[in-house]
Amino acid sequence: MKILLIEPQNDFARVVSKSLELGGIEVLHASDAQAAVHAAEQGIDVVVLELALPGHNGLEFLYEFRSYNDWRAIPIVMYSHISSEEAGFNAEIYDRFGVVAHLYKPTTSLKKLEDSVRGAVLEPVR
Amino acid sequence: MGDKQITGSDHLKSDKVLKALIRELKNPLLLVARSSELAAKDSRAVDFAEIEKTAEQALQLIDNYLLSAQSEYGQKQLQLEPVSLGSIFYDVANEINALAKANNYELQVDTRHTAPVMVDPQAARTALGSLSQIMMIPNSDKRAKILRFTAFKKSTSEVVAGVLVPGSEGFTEAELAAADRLQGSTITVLGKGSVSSGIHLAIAQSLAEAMGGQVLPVKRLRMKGLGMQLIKSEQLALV
Repeated sequence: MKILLIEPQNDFARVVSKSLELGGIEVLHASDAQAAVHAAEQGIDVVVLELALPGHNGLEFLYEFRSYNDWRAIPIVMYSHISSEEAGFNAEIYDRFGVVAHLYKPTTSLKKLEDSVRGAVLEPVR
Repeated sequence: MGDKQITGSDHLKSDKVLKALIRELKNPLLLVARSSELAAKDSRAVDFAEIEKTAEQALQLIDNYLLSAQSEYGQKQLQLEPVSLGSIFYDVANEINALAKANNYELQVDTRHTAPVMVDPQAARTALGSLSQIMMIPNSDKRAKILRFTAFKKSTSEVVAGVLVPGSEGFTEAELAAADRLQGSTITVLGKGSVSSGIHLAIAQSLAEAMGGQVLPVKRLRMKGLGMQLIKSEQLALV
């Protein structure tokens, strides 16, 4: 399995990447939306996304990401400092963008993140 | 000198700044917590020096906040003295060097126009360090980005100490004002790049004002960034 981790904090991305790699998951890291679009061209199974990105917010990225036919079925796991309540997201938004989980970073262990990433592959995205 | 009388709007502002500090501290705490979890899985996968550096940066941020809050409310009197901006630039560059490397930045100090200014050295270092942190947008580019400290004359009595990066990642007056209003809200996005709670801007503004200056957007020779307007030292200028 190969995932794209979109995380602006490089040091935190290294910790998350190492943890997932120990579980046998290949990780591509991008620290902003532009780099993420380039990285996705390598072929990925899941996107793990921080909503607060340099120059964009996560929703802007999702609009662009979902505009490419090849990437419409790739599940998104939000892994963010911003909770779903703070972001004001509802089930309709998650459904529209193929977001299969919204994990709040401060209360989500690396184990829970890995479980969610594995579960995301099994979730059908329309 | 006694404490300044604190008004309702002061309380509102300090509440916003405190919220911004708390939000900013989530990043280092999260890194330490998840690194500990990773260490339990495989200690060789963890860079303990990085954890130590992260914790030290968090402690430094708390000290920076305390300095700005104490000076703003009259609990600490800043001692203004004539200081060469060049020496302050080098001190700040040394202090933020590890962070610059982590964020893939190469630091440059331009000492050509570093006029002596009237500042409290610790406050000036803290304010410029805070502006540097706003300008250092983490990137995964192949080549390190440049972050340059530079100074230039604003008027016969004022100098601007700037922190600049090449390209379009600068700020406008309106964006600075918006960032000020948004401090402590979910997230403050400055200009085209910086993601921050706004605490670094609040600290820099507070300290710059305590030294008779202000924070302002700066453009120089195809570079953009933030600067701190300061009062020139006539004493050293005559030497």
